[in-house]
Amino acid sequence: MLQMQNLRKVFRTALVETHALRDFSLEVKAGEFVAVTGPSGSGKTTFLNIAGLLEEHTDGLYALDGIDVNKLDDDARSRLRNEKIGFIFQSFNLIPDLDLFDNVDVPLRYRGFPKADRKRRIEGALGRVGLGSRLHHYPAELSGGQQQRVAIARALAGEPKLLLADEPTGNLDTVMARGVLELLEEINGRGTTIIMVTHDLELARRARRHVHVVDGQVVDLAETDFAPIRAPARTQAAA
Amino acid sequence: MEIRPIFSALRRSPVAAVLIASQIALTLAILANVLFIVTERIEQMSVPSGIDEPNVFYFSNVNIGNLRDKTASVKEDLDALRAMPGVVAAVGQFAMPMGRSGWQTSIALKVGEQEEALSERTAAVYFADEHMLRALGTRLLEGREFAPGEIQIFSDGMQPNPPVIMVSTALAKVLFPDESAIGKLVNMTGDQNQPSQRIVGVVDHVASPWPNSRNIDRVIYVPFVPAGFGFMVRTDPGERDRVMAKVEDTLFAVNPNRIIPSMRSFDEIRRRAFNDDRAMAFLLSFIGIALLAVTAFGIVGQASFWVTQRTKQIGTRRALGARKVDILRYFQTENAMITLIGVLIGSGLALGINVLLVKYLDFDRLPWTWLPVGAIVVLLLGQLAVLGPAMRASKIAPAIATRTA
Amino acid sequence: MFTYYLKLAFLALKRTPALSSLMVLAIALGLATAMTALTLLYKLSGDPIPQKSNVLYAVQLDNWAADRAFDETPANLPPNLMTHRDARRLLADAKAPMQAAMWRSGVSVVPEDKDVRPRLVSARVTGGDFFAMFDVPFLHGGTWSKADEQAEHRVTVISRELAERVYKRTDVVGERIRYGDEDFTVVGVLDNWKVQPLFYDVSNDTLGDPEEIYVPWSVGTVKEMDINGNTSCFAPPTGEGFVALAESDCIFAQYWAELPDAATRDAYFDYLTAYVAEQRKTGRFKRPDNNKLSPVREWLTQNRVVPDDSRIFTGIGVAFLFVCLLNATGLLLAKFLRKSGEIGLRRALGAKRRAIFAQHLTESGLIGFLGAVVGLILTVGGLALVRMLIPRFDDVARIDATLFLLLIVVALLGAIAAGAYPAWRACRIAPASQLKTN
Repeated sequence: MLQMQNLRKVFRTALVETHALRDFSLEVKAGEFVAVTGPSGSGKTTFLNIAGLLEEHTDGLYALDGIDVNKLDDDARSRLRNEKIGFIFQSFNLIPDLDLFDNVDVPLRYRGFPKADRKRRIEGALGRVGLGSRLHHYPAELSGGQQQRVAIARALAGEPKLLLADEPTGNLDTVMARGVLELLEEINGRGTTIIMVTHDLELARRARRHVHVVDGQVVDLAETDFAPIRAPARTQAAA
Repeated sequence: MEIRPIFSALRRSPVAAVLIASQIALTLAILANVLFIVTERIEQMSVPSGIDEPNVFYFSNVNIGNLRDKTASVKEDLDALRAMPGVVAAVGQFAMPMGRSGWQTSIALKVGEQEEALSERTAAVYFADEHMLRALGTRLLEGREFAPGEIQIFSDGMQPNPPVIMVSTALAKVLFPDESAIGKLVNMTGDQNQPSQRIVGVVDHVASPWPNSRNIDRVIYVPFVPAGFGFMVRTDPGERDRVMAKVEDTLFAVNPNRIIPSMRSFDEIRRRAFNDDRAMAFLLSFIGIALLAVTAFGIVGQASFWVTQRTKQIGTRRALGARKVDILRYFQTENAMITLIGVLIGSGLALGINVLLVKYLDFDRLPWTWLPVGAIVVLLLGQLAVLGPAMRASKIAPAIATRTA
Repeated sequence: MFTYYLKLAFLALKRTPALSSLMVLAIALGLATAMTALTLLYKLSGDPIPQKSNVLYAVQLDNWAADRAFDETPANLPPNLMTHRDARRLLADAKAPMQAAMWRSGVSVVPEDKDVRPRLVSARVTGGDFFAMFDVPFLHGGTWSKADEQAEHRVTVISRELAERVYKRTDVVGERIRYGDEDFTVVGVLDNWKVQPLFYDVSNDTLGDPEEIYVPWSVGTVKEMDINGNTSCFAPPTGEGFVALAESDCIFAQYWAELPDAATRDAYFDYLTAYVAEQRKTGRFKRPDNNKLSPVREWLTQNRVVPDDSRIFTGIGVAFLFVCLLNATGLLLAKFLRKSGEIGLRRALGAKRRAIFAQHLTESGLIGFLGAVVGLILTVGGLALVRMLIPRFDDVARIDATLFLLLIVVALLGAIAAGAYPAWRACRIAPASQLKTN
């Protein structure tokens, strides 16, 4: 599904050069549920942005669903993003002036689906996350957990192959967090690949695969258990 | 095009949009009326005079002492003027086209007829001798000019009651729409006991002295040489200023007991005639441009603010798959919607204002065609104004969605 | 606290110099346009003789044709000029405490120095109490006597400018001055006098200067002096020349009466009615009674002395100002909400809602004040532009203290009105609500 080889990302300002990712390699197969952890400034957000085609990498190979993204222009990236990827943000990123229906509608409009099709998908998505009865409520009327679920519905409505979640439970209490995680597991169970960036190690444990990033590199991989050993780079890891 | 969600979002926090829409409404209302007035005035200012404008001038002449023989003195003056090199024609005259003073009378079709539409048959009176048409630089369309024997000297206190007259082509059409005016009898004195005037000639258009009048093309020529009023002179091309400079000396040599209070070229007369219209058109145009600038500035400011305020939202949309052009279109659509609402309200306002103007200030009814013109101007203005901020918005990186908390 | 708010306001303006200066400019433009238009309107519609404008009346008799009205609009106003014969008769009857009949003429003033060319000077032929009625100031001498008028003596009153032009001095009472072919004796010299608009004769340019020469009505009549104004007839005079014109129903004279109270006015009106009835018996005045006594301000309105264009210009100018204020409201709203973080912080640190409101209202007021300053400069420029475009508005298009004050007041009130809603929105921001970077 996702293939990164020797990825490098450098941020240049007039004074400073920051290497956010160095020699970063990762392969995620379709249907996996991967947690990506790492301390602050480790580059996990950069990784997520590049994975989600939100930023361009400086060097190396990135292929999404078999497509080499290097050759794509901004419009093509937007389209690819729209069709293949669903996003879930830490602070939900719902548009406050739109009701739930219209919020979930946003990516579908850019996809160009006809009206009836969109309606069906929106109602379906909101139904799946348990908010089918509140289609025309506004985000301000919902709890944090509910808002995140709307965001998930938005991410799912277009039936993406890959779901990218950035600290999905970061702004939620433990009860709501558990609810969201259960939802994610259910989604993964149906075949959607999920990559979840988080600094919560407990959460990371729930995922079926755990990738740790330090100083812009993949440091350690573990199937279930996690041992925080700092070791020099290894280029590939068995999935 | 996501019209409904945009509209729905605006409805949620409508204040800023309402402010912009009201500005646009008021702008359209003002603009439509301004455009109307300005174009009307420009049209009025370009009304043709019918004469050889660059080469004609007029000066008034007052003889000192009433005892002088007016007939002889006007003949002397005319002879002296006509003898001047560069002069094509000179005539005694007391009114000029667009000169804003003169003589007006109403015409009755026959002696004693009770007229209903008298204002339609009001015409300006010009004195004319056999040189008049050449002095004006206009031409005879039908019939004949005055014969020298028909022409009399006219002095103060006389009542013009000539046997023959010439009329302008527009007046002829008003009086006799389906036939030739030549040979017909009309009455210009209003006195049922006075003999009528016979029309002997129809003359091409020459403007009356009143430039803003609706009857500017209705003119009568009477066979008189006015004594003690003034003179109109037509020169060869390019000679006008030179001749004007020499007139005083020439006439004072003939007879120094006179005053020439003013001498003006026709260009000057014309300019003065429309001075107020020109000023009004200029000032209103100035306001119109300032108005558009202020409104544009308001739209730019408001849109910039929205871009800043919605930065995260824009990033999110990009993350969800919006292309740069989708963001651009979002702002353009939003702007177009607000502008459209403003235009609708503004149209009502414009017509309302016009109704007031018609009622209290004898205004002309606003032709409805100015509203779409104004609306298009305002729409384009809005789209142009929003372009800058919208382009900025489209450049917001998708990564904003994740990087700003 | 106010000085603190003022300081904050200055800082806020400095932080966004481009936006702030454009805002000030926008308000200034609106102010300048409205004030220029208002100045013109104010000056043009001013009362020319405020101390007496409600006791001076234009006398109008409807002597017009049997079959058509002088004024074809529903108002059916009587003619705004009078015939010579009626004016003559009213003057002779002298039923009002003070009255004057007159017409405007032109006189060739012939200087003694033969090398100086004669000039045509505006003149007014008037009988009765013209100078007393209109409070015309004399520098030397005074008006001619009733005896002079009766005897048709060649006496005249002249302006001080004319005296200075002809004699190089002003105390010229008793001197002779040549009008055309006859010598006149100066009995009075007028001091500087400007009446705006020239209400007593609306046939010519009402913004022009008053006439420079005055001669008695009887003298003007016997010398058949030119009529420089409107002459209207509904039928030609029977006969030729001035004498026939003066006997006819052609109108060209103005007639004014001073009627100090309602009783006098009513009595005079009755006199007019009786006069018309008497004339009707001789075959004149074929129309039904339509006489009128119009006090000065009504007379000016009736004769449309204030140009319509001035009213239109004012309306558009004020509407434009309104647009500029709406503009300011929108931009202030955006400006204030942009710094919600700072406002939330201030609230968190103890500022009451009132304080936030006052702070932001002060900022609006400051912009209004700066707008007034720039607006004043633009107004002066605008009026200069008008003077250039319309030379006869030279005295009218000038700002004075009252209008200057009006400009400041309008600017401040407008800015505060524009800023009230944005300031209110600002003070509603919850304390520290914007502190979480969200």
